[in-house]
Order: sequence, then structure tokens, then C-alpha cells
Amino acid sequence: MKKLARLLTLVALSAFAQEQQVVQSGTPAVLEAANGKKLQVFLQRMDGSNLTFQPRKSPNDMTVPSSKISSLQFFPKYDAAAVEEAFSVGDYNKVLSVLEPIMEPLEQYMPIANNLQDTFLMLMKSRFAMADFTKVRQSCDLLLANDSDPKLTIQGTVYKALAALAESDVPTAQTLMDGLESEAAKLYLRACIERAQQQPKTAIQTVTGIIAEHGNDVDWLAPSELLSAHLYLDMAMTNSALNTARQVRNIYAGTHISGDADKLYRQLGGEEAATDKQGT
Amino acid sequence: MKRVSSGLIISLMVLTASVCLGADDDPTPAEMLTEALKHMQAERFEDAVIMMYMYLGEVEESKAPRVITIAQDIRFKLATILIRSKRLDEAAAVLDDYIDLQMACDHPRQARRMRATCYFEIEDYDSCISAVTNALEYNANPIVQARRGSKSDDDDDDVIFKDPEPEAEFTPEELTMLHMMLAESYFTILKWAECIEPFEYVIAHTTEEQRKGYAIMQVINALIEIPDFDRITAWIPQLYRTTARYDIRVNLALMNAAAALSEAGEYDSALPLYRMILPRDELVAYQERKIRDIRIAHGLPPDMDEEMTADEMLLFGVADEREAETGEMNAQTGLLEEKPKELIEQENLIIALKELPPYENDVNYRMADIYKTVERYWEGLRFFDIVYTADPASEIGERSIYELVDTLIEALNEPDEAERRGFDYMSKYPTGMTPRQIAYMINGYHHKHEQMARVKGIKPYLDGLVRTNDATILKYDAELYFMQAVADLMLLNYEAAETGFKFVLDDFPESHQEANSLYWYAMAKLFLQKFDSAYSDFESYLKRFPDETYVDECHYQSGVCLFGMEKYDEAQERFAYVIDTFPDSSIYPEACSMRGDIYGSQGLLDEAIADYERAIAAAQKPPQATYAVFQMAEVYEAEDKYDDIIRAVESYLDVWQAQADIAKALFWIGKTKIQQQKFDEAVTTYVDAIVKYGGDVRQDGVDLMIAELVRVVAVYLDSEAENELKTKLQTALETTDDLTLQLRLRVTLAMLNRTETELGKQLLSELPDLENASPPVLACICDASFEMEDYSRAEELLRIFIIKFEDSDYMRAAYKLRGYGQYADQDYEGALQTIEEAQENYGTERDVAWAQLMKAQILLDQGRIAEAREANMNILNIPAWRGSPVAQATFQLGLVEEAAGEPLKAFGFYQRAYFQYKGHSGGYWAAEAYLASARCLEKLGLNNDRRNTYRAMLFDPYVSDLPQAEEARRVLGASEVAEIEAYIETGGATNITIDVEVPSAEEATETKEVVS
Repeated sequence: MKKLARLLTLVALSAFAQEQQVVQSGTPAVLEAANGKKLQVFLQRMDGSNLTFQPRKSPNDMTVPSSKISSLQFFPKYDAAAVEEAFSVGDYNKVLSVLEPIMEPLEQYMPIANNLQDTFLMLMKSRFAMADFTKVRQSCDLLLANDSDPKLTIQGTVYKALAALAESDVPTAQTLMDGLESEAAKLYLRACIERAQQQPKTAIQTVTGIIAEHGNDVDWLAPSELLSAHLYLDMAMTNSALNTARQVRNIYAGTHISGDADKLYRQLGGEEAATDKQGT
Repeated sequence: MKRVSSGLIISLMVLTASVCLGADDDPTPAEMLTEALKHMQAERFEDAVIMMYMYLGEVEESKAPRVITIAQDIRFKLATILIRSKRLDEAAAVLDDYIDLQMACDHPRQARRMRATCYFEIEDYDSCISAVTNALEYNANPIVQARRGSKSDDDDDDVIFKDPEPEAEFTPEELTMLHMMLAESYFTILKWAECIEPFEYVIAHTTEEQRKGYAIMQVINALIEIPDFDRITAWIPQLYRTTARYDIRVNLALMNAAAALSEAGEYDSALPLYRMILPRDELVAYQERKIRDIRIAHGLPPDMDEEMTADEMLLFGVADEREAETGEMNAQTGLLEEKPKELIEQENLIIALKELPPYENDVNYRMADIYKTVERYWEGLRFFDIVYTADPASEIGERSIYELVDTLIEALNEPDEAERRGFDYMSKYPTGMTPRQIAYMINGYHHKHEQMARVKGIKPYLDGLVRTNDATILKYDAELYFMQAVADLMLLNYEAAETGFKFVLDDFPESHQEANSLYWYAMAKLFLQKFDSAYSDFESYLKRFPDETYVDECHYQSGVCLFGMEKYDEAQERFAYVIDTFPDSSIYPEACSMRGDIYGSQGLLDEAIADYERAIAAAQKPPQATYAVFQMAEVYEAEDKYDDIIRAVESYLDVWQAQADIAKALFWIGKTKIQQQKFDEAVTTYVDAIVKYGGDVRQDGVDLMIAELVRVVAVYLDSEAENELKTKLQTALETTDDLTLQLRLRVTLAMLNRTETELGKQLLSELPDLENASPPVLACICDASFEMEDYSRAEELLRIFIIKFEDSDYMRAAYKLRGYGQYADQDYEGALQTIEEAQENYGTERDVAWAQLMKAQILLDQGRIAEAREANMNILNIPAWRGSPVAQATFQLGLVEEAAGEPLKAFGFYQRAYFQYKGHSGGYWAAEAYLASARCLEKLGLNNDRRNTYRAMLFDPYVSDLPQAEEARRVLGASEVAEIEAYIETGGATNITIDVEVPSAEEATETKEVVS
């Protein structure tokens, strides 16, 4: 029995020694190759469209074209529910404070399909909300390099254009808009451009086109309606802006658009109005 | 369905079986059991049921555990067969017995679940609720069953039943279905609050998207009924994210729910529900795909009434286990009743859906309505437009175009677009109420904004509407045409207004606007100075409508007509009647002022003052007091009562404060100071007032001050004071951004510098429009145009005066420009009309002598010799027109006689013109008269006299240098002309001796005009 115990200890020590010999650095992930095989890896870097990684327990770098990779799975440790909650109420500072350090080493891999794409979108939108347009553009470029999901391309294009608009670069926004394939996204961007060109009346008519013709487009209906609220405000139709903001807040409850609408609603005195109504 | 007692069924079955088998051949319970199982195995379920009932009837009373155990097993099997045979009420009764016995119950959970299903299917919802509740309770807390029984019917010793295999708890799917049945049962018996919790369970646990969506929908429906709108709002986003939106039932329920929410004012909740409703065609297509899938799943041809092709069989397979298990399809006959239940349900739903009238327009309209209600006007607009475009001629289409135009006009202030859409509709759909309502709306907007020209824009479309005898439509038409005439009136198109009101009176007799039309018809005539006719209509109104609104007004206006007809006594009486009868009327102050004017004209100044004071005291509006105060000031001025002027004006300012015509008041105050020799103070008052009030183009008091200021400077100020004043005005000009004030200051400076014409020319090219031009500025432009003989804007300028500055004294310049323009265009009737208006306004004032001269010339041009002669002769009799006008009139009289074939008489007038008036108009008329005289003498064959006339012309220093003298030089020839010139150089003179009138300063200006 003692012999057996000693033997087991030796085996364990040997395994430990092996582990000790391969000290690996990089971003741990599971890589799924195009042929369906999965591999535990430590990602090293992206060079253009090539991904360099070390397989687990191997000190050797391997470089493969990203087109050979089906997807990556990351394992960041953070309270995802809390971040989503913060995002849905428009607490972008909190989102950024949590996600920036986590996503910083991962961002370079975003051109490859992965399990954090939605999180990355959340990060990009939060950066936009906080007017960090340089980072928004960088994020958009990464999204545009990812051809796994047309939705990402559209979001990347639209937000890149919005960042350009925020810095008064209408021609760039226009060019990006022309390249969009989603009709609803294109109309949304057009309305944003028209708004930037101080044409709120034209813009709101474009928005109503989205509401009427693309009423089931879950990606662009909510932002379009929120844009409508802002356009009413631009036209000094405060009651209309207030009511639109309230409806967007209620209809899209649980989304960041609802959070943004709530902020606008309160900014316009919505809560006071609600309190007054209750009072009467 | 009523519940069936299992005991009763068993008795009946036993009886039936006894009859069938014969009394003598009674089988034993064991045989019955064997027989039942045989039938069952052979799938002869009806026979199996009979045997099972017989068996149960036989052993019902037995207490033997073994018998009880077998009987319970048979009960469970019997229930299963009955369910399969759709004899659900019987099955429920059997299961009741099975469960109630509480012994040898091997399937307590499944029995309870089956019982609940049976009650649900037979729509016995109260029993279903009990059954489900019981099943769920049992599942959570299984009852410890009585385990004791008898060995046999005869043996009283208790025995313990053999423990059955423990039954599995309900699966999640079974639990979900039980909750669904419970929820639906509560819902069906209207227990709204109770149904929510089980539905919530379904929503939380079901794995089917569509079921989840349906459950959410039912929760929303229940919450609507409770009502609890806040909770609904929370549920809607969840529903939005499920595929249940493709469920026909959900879509129908969505419509009901949305309508209920909308009616309750819960727009935020109603709107997303409406949005989720899918168009019928889209739903049908989705459901047809679903039916196809179900059919394929059940081995049926993909499309109804079609057989599956070999390829489809290969691709989709044939009847599956489910079909074999349920046996619901007869593969040989393919009868419809054998279809799977879900397929039948689905097909029924799709039939119902197809039978529904199209609902998309209704949904879109309701959404539009909600958007509009919550002030999301642009969204509302879009949806109204969608509905209108989809079905413009329908009732909902009509409502949509109405709402669309209403939104554009009332909410978005987009009248141009409203008109575009409204007029388009009126021209395409000219019948019925809606085009009228739209016209009424557009009309109302323009009236409210005093855009009368745009009101007139409705007229062509109004004329295009199809008329009917419908009382309501007639009322609309009468109103719309009445408002058209009102617009004409406000545009000062009195002829059109007269025609318009007459149209209403003739085409819409006894309409609701008849009395008003008659009143305004008379008013239009009054404005056209058709006093007789207007008077008749006012009197007619008083007779026909003695209780209507305008009775007091009619009395007053009748007085005005009498005044116009120069029946001053009757007019005075009528005004007195109004004053005595209607002391509280709004026209009381006007009546007082009018009577005051009559007293004033009669020299009864105290009486006039008393009436003006009455008017001032009773004035309800500033203009009523303003007129009376300044009329009173005129009277006081005539009596040199300048202190009274100050008192009256200051009192007026105190009462009316900011509403008072302050500029005009200051004008009178300044005028008083001038009379008091306080020139500096007067100038300061005027300059300050011009700068302060000169930015308002309608302050005609400022314009009066400008004229008065120029007069004071010319008469009373020395050059130093004048320069100081000019510097002040120049400084004010440079420091203001107000265009109206700038123009007024520039024109004042030009008048002081006598450069009005130059300024006028400059302004003509400088001003894109005349919006900011006050009367002196307009007059300046008129003068410049006149000098350049540019009549292109004459009509516009006069119209601006008439519309904006009717009482301005500066309007005379516009009349002159217009008259000359019309004469140049040979629009003689138009010119005569303008002349008449100018003369009505300014009578025989010197600077409107042109009007009478032109009138005489036009009459001559028209060959109306006698009238032309009389017109010219009139000029000679007017003292104010002495000088240049008389010179021209004398010359024109010569032309008249020439045209009458009286060259000798003509010569007489020409001779008089160059003898007596050579000093006027720079000798222009004298020179013309010389040439005309020569022409007459030639006609008379007096050639020597003709040549002498030319010679006299060259000897006459007033005309010899004028261009006309060239004609004399040409006729006389170079040598004779040289002889005359040499003679003149030596100091020689003509033998003609004449008296020359010296022209006044005014005439010097006129001379310039004529020569130019």
C-alpha cells in the first residue's frame, strides 16, 4: 500500500514538473478551427489577418490565417449581468470601467467570430455615448473586419459614420451610408446626416419612413424612435419630444435605448410632469 | 357538457350487454375481463368498453383487494380507451371513480392529468380547475393511500395491498400543460386575476416560443380586463420578442387588446401592440407554410386536396408514428375528419383569417391616431398618409386625409403642404363632406392668420366640388362661399366681395349666413360708394332680420350711406337714433364721431366737441378713441385752442397708454409747440418720436411728423439749426439696424436736402421688396418712378397704400403714378377710375390738378368733346389751380376746339396760352401754343399770320430757346432766322406786348415736372 502511495506521488510530481516546464503566457481561449476541431490555446497576437497562438502545454507559437478559424471562445471574469444592467440604464461610465480593462487585450481578436461580440458591441456603444470617437472608430474597424455576422458589419459601419458625424465629417458619413446593405440602417444614418445638416424636418420624415416600413426591424426601430424624440426637440416641439422619449423608454424597456430615452425624458422634465399628473 | 355518472353508464352498459348476450348466457366477471382484454388487444375498442363497463358493474361492491386492484386497472384502461374515442365526459367520470377510491391507484398523477384534460376538452372549466389544482397538489404532496382491503368478497380479514411501482412525477412539459389548462379555464370563466399566475408559470417554463407568446398575450388580455395597465406595459416588450406574433389568435387578440388600451388612454401600451399586428397576407403566408409543415409531418400531401408526389414522399416521408398512434387519419379514405387536431385547428384559423375583412388600414389608422394623440405628429402624418394612399375613396381613407391635413395645419404649421394635399384631394374627390371639411380647415387657418389672398386660393377647388341638396353639405358650401366673399372684402376687392355675397344670397337662400351675407353685401356696396343700393340693403336687413346681430350696425351704416348721399340731416338723425337707442353698442363711439363730424361741418363746434368726447368716453377699442381725439384736435386747431389739444391728447395717452397712437399724439403735441413758437422743442419732440417709433411701419403719426418737421425747417429754422438737425438724423441713421427706421430717416434727410427723387431712384434698385417702406418712402419711390416714366410698379405701389396706409396723405403720389401709367397704356377707363378716387380723396388740392387735366385729355382722346371742354373749363375756375394747371387747361381747350373743327376758337385759346401763361411751366405750354396757333392759322389759310406767329415765337425770350422753337426756325428758313437773331442782338424786340404772370415757388417745381 505504501508502495502504491509513493508511486502515485511520483506520478503527480512528474505531472507537476511537466506543467512547471511549460509556463505559458497569452490570452487563454478555446479555438475552433474551420474543420470543427477545438483546441485550448494561449492567444499571442493578431498580425493583419494572421492569428498567432500557443497550444496549451506547448511553448511553440503557431500562426494561422484567421480564415481557417471558425470561432474563439474567451473566458473573461466579470459580472456580465451587472454590466448589462448598467448598459440598459445608460450608465456607460460603469460599463466602460468594467469592460475596458477586460476587453483591452481581447479587442485585437474581434475580427474573428467569438463569444464576446455582443459585449464588444456594448463597449463600442458605450464609448460612443461617452464621445470617445477615436476608440469608436477603432472598434468599428475591428467589427468591419469580422465577416462572420452581417449585423456586426452594419453596426460597425453605422457607428463609424456616427463618429464621423459627431466630428462634422458629413462626406465620410455619407460614403459609409451608401455602402450599407440594410435599408433600415441606411435610412437611420440618412436621418442622422440630415439632422447634422440642420434639416430636422427632412430627418424626421426619414425616421417616420423607418417606423412605417421597417416596423419589425429590432436593430434600428428603437434608435430611430429615440432619434425622433431628439428631432422633435430640435424643432422646439418639446411636448412631442417628451412623449416620444416616454414611449421609447416604455416600449423598449430593458435596453440601452430605453435608458437613453429615460435620460432625455427626465431632462425634459418628464418626471416632474409625471409627478404633477399623479398629484392632480 | 353535463358530467356523466359512471354508475349510471355501467348500469346501462350492463343492461345493454345482457340484452345482447341473452339472460341465460350471463358471463362471469372473469369471462368479462378476459373478453374485454381480448377486444382491447384486437383494437375493438367499443366492445372492450362494453365488457369493461359490465365487469366493473359486476365487481363494484367487492372489497377483495385483488378484485379492487383489477377493477382499478380496468378503470384506468377504460378511461384511456374512452379518451381515445373522444368520450371524454365518460372518461372523466371513470377517472373520478378511479381517483376517489384511493386504493390500488397505480397512476394517480396521470389519472389526475387525464381527468383535467377531459374536463378542459368538454369545456367544464370549473371541474377542470378543480382537477388541475388537485393534480398539481397531488404531484407536490402525494397522498398516502389506504393500503388495506379484503382477501375476497367473503373474507373479512384485512390484507395489505401490494405496493405499486412508484409513479414518476409530472414532467416539465406536463406541468406546463396543466398550468396552461388551469390558466385558460380561469380565463374562460372570466376569473382574470386567477388566470395570471398559471399563465406566468407557462411563460416561465414553456420551451415553445409560440406558446409563450400566446400566454403573454392572454396575461395582457386579463390585465386589460382587471384592469392593470402598468403591468401590461411591463409584459409588452416580452411579447414583442416571441414568435407568437405570427399566431393568428394572438394577432386577433392583439387587435382587441390594443383597442381596449387605446380607449383607456394607455397609448404607450397600445402602440406596440398595434405595431406587432402583422399584415393579413403575411400572416396567411406564414400560417400556410405552417400548415404545410404539419401536413408533411402527418404524412399528408403538403397542399390541401393534393396527393403527395413520389419526390415529396421521399423528401418528407409518409405517415409517422404519431398518426399510427392516434389513428386520426384514415389513410385509405383520406377523410377530413381524420386529420390531426392541430391541423384542423390551424386550417379553421386560417379560414377565419381569410374571411376577415382587411384590417391593415384600420390598424394603421389607429396607430396614426395614437401618434397624433401623443403629439408625435410626424409619425401620425406618415400613417394617415399610408391609409389614405391605400384606399383614398373609402370612409377610412377620407378620415385619414382629413386628419392628415388637420395635422399639417394645426399641429405642424405646414400650410403649404396642407394645401397641396388638400387641394389635390378636393380636385380628385369632389363629392361629399370630406372635401368641404378640408376646405373649411384650410380656410379657417388662413382666416386666422389673416392670409386672405390664400383664402382666395381655395376658390377654384371650391368651384370644382359637386353640389348636392344635402343639408349639411349645403351649409358647408354656404359657409365656404361666405368666407370667400369675406376674404375679398378684407383684400379690399369690393367688387368681388359684392359678387361673392350676392352669390351666397342667391345660391344658398335661407342659409345660416343669409343675414350676415346681406349685411356684408351692403357693406361691400358701401365701400364701393354705392350709397343708394347699400342703404336699401341695410334697410332690408333691418326689416327681415330685426333680431339678428347687426341691427345696430345696420342703423349706423344706413347713416353713413345717407351721409354719402349728402343727406346730412337724415344722416344726423340716424346717428342720433343710434346714439339714443344703442348706448352700449360697439358702434356707439363711431356714431358719435360721425355726428360730431356733421356738427363740425355745420360750424357747430361745441356740439362736435361734445360728440367727440362722448365717442372718446365710450370707446371700446383704441381706433374709436383715436379718431375722435384727433378729429377733436382738428376742431381745436381751427379755434386756436392749443391748450385743449394738449389736454385732450394727454388724456387720451393716459387712458390708452401703449395701445394709443403715441406718434400721432406727439405729432399734435409738436404742432402745438410750433404754434407756441417753441420750434426747438417741437423739433426735438419730432426727432425723438421719429427715432423711437419710426421702426413701426404702421405708425402714420411718424410720417405726419416727418412732413411737419420738413415744413418747420423750411419756414422757421436757420441754417445752423437745420444743419444740427441733419447731423442728429444722420447719427440716428448710422446707429440703427432697423430697416424701416433707416428708410424713414433717409427720406427725411432727402426731403430736407430736396433730393427725394434721387433717393427714390436709389431705393427702387436697392429694395428687394417694399415690406419696410413707410408712406413717405413709398411716395419717394413713386416720384422717382414718375420722373423716369417707369410705371411698372405703379399698381403695386397704389395697392400697398390702399391696403396698408389707406389714410396716408402720401398716397396722392401713388395715384398720380398709377393714373399716368394707365394713360400711357391707353387704359382710359382705368385712368378715369384712378382720377375719380384721387379727386374723392384730395378734391381740388393743388397737387392733384393733374387728375382733372388728365381727365379732360382722356375725354378728348375718347372724342367726348363737350365733356372735355367742360372738364378743362372747370380747371380755370379753381383758385388753387391757378398758374401752370390753368396754362395747360387753356392749351387743352385749344386742342378741344381744334378737335371740334373750330380752328379759330382754338387759335384764341392758344394765343391766350402764350400771351398769358408763358411764364408757367418754363414756357412749355406757351411754346406748344405757338406751334398749335401756327397750325390753326395754316388751316384757316392765313399763311402770313402763320409765319408772323413763328417769328413772334423766336422773338419771345420765354420760348425761343425751347426745343419747340426749332420748328419755327425750320419753317422760316435760315436767312430769316439769322435776320431775327441779329435784330435781337441789337436790342430789338417783338412788337407784341404782353403781361407775364410771375410763377410762385410751387410753380417752379411744376415747371420742372412739365419740362421734364
